[in-house]
Amino acid sequence: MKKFSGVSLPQLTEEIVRNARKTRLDAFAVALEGWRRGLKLKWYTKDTPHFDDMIVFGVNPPGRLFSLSSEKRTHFFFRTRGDKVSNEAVEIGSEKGDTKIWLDKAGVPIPQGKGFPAEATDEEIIEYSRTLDYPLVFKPTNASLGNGVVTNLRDEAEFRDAVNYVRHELGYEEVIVEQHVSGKEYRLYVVEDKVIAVYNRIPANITGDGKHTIEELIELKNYERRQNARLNSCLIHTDQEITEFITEQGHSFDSVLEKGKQLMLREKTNVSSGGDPIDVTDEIPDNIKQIAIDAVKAIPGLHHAGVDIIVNEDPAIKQPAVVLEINPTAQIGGALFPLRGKARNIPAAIIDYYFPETKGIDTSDSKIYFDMTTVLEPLEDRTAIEVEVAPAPMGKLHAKRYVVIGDVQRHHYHRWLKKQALDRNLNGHVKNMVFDEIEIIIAGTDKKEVDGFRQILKQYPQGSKVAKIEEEVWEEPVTVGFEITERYNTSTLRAAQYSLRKMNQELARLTKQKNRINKDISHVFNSTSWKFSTPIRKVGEIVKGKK
Amino acid sequence: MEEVKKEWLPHLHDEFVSEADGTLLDAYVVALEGWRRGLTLRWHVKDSEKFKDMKTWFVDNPGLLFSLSSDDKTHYFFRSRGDFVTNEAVEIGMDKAKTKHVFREKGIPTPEGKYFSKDESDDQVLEYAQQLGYPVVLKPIDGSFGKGVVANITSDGEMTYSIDYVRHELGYKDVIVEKYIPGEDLRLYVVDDKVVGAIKRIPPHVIGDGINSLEALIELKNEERSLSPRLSSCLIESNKELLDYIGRLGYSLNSVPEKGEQVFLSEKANISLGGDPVDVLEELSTDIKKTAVQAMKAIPGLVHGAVDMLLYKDVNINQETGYVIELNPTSQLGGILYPVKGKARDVPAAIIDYYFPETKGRRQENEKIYFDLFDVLEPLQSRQAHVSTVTPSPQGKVYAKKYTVVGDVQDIGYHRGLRKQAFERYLHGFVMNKENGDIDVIVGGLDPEMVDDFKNAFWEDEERATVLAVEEMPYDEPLKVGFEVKADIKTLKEELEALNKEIEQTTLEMKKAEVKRRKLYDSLSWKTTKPIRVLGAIFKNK
Repeated sequence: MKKFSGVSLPQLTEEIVRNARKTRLDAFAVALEGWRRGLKLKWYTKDTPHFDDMIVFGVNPPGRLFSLSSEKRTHFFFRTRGDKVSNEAVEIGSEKGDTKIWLDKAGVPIPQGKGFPAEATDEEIIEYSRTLDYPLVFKPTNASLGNGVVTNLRDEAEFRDAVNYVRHELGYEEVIVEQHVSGKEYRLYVVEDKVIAVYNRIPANITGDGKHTIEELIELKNYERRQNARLNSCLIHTDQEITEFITEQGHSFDSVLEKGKQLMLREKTNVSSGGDPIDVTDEIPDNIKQIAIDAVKAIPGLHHAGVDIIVNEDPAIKQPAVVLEINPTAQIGGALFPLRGKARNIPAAIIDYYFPETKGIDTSDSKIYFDMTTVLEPLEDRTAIEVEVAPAPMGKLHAKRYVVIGDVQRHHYHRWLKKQALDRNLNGHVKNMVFDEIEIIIAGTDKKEVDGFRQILKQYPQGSKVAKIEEEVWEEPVTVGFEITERYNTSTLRAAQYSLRKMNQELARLTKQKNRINKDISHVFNSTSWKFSTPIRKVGEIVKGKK
Repeated sequence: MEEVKKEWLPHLHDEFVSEADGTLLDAYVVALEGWRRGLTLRWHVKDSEKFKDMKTWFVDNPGLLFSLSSDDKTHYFFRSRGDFVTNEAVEIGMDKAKTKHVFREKGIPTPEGKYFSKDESDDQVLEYAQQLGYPVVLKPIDGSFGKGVVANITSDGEMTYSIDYVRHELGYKDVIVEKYIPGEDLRLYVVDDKVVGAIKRIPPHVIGDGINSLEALIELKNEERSLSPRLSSCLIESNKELLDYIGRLGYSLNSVPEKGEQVFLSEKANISLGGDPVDVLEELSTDIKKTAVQAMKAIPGLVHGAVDMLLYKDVNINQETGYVIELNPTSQLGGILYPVKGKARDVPAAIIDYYFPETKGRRQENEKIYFDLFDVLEPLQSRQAHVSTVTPSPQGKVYAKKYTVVGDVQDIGYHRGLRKQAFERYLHGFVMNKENGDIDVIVGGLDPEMVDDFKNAFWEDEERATVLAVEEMPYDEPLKVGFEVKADIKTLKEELEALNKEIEQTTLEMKKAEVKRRKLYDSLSWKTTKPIRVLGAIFKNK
């Protein structure tokens, strides 16, 4: 099996982002970066008045709205977008027609074209299309995620079909007609006058190996995507569009794809419809990056955003690239977790911009994080409106894993350990293992305290029965605070879901262990020497019996 | 069983406080009052913000520290005590010797007595008791909950025994000896210059029925206590002290008291030891109340708190005197809020009136609204979060309805969808599965139109629910803020139980296998065959 080969940021491992999916991942990544730099982090529900003046959407579930504060000031964020981005800029960005007008005005290259309001008749639109050179693109003005975008229309018949489909079948009446610029599409993330990340989005695709059918290859590709923190929520779903697309290319789900052949499954490049993000930041020339920077500058009050461009391969067009779209609330998962290439630290760039005084703080080896599920718990059912995350320990984190063996599985002991840890500003958890073992993770900035905790483990006043302590340096991520991981907590919905997940893991672990032991046993039984020694064993039993 | 007449506050009905027991109750009722008045309520972890500078204790678990804010100010609270009460006042209040000294100076009646430090001998203590004249009381200087207090000591023998018990067995070396005052044990709650609640505390007792033994009567009494939010955590314990006490009265646990006979089980009236709180606010004379207020004023910065008094009635001259025993700046409120007899007094309201006078009387219409303490505190438990702010209470009349939805409607996804619909309409409530396959959905909010409109929400998810009918009726019960999908937990619980069984089974099988493996490895023959095995391995490799 080919493993996912993108290089993600060391401070954003799969474990750390486990409970932050989709657009929650964007918010989490930015919030985590600010928090790790020592800023105060608060999460909100949509009912908070703090975001009354900010354009937000899809915020019914918590985990998208947060604020970061230094001693001097507070900034509010919706996903990746902070409060320095004006509402006007957001509005311009969400209307593709307006975006075009502003970009054009500033001399930023765009595909030739025009937006039409809902009142415009189909004939008007078709009339206008005759002034452009085919192939054309037809798309709704304000749909997101590539919905209703029809590209590469080669003649008027195809164009008419597209108009009918988008305006009448899908019901997007406000539309844009523009020139189809052939070339590779890229998404750039710009903060002020710098391009932080560039990634290429390849439409959902598979590569043949001469053995597997297309259906199986899609399955395998999804397996690969599942390993990637960003892509595991965006698997390839074999829908009508894919079926038609591969049929058109003369394939079916049952056909075996020849070795090395790459097959595109649709035209759309969106990551959410199965597209592959591939980092190319270092490969894109500066003149193209400058176009994206200019595009962000062209929209007043924007400052930072995602910019979609096409690098032009059409010799008839002079510009090296054209800007298709601007996204003030861009998703950045693709840049953080590329399927190939290197991850780019957009969250750091955003925090640098909002809190330049924290610029020097390097979080790249930070292992501390907070669990989104736990922190958002009371926001989920709206019992609370606001939760302030415990401050991140600042400075180098030292961590140890202790395995304590003895009569140590009592809850009282664990509660006492929690108090000892918290009183010493230490973070981590205690967890019951099988039999008579517990695992304790202890992490803190004071190495002496972390190492000294070994002594504490034995000091439980009610007569602790610690038989043995094993210790090792712990390199894995650690959550802030101290948790007693109980197997069975059903006091709240979240707790129950959490327990369920944990118990499933535990069951899998136990089953594995059991199978291993059974394998050992059957190995002994089946071993030829065991069979040979049958008579000896009998003698042994007789001897034993006499003792 | 005793016939009791009690009137609890409707807006502090036991459903509201069912999650808050013990000392959590005091914090919860004060927080709830402020929150219902529209103040912003935040729960804090130990040492966060102003709490670093405030005298608090046993706050490793969240639920005792909170703050209330209006637009222009914030006040911090530890249980029932707010930040107007100074640390100095708290310290003096906790020191019985110091308070006694202050009372003497200010001429506030307090039993005559003396403090003995650990350096003073048992003989010195005994000597003083003799000099003071029996009966006396012996108590630790800094004990609480009545622990180690021995009252009504009438002879040298009892005194010697008690000194040994308190100073050596319990280890309270610093003690006070004072004159024993026979009389009713009172607790008055004072805010500023007003007594806002008062109870007398009757020592633990049972009333015989001629059938049951003392042991059974205590059990019955405890069952009754379990029903009260305040008393459920303070059951009567049949410990050494109790056995000693009833022994002195000539009883054992097996004795069967006669019908109607009242048997006291202790001298101590502390509610935490099984005492009964009875409301007496209206019966108390103005003089007694005045003494309580003066006692509080005697300690600078003690602007609200509880005063414990003994009410001595001299029948000869028909005069009563209140002797102040101690002050409690961080008093429990449960006895006053949930008396076993008489009227509950709204101390939380008085406290909030004092800190936020501008909100006085602002609570009339949302007395049925409350919040889930456990949910709010969840991320503070592991200290991943430091502060959590409760969703503001709806300000105004809350209008609520109960919808019963008939059909195939128990899909969890459907319920989550309903939750979203509720949030979009700014409604609170819950959805709960019924045995017969239907669901009950409660929604409430300030806008009746939204509540009525919710009946349309049930039909919008045809994929996950087949709705046959929706019945509606008014809903007048308490309502939590937020929206809970109750069915979820129930289903998950079942799943968890099944999973737990499976884990237990697997663990058992694994242990068995492990034992078997160990036996095999340890078995003589396996060891003796080692050379053969090695040889075998060589052959196989070839």
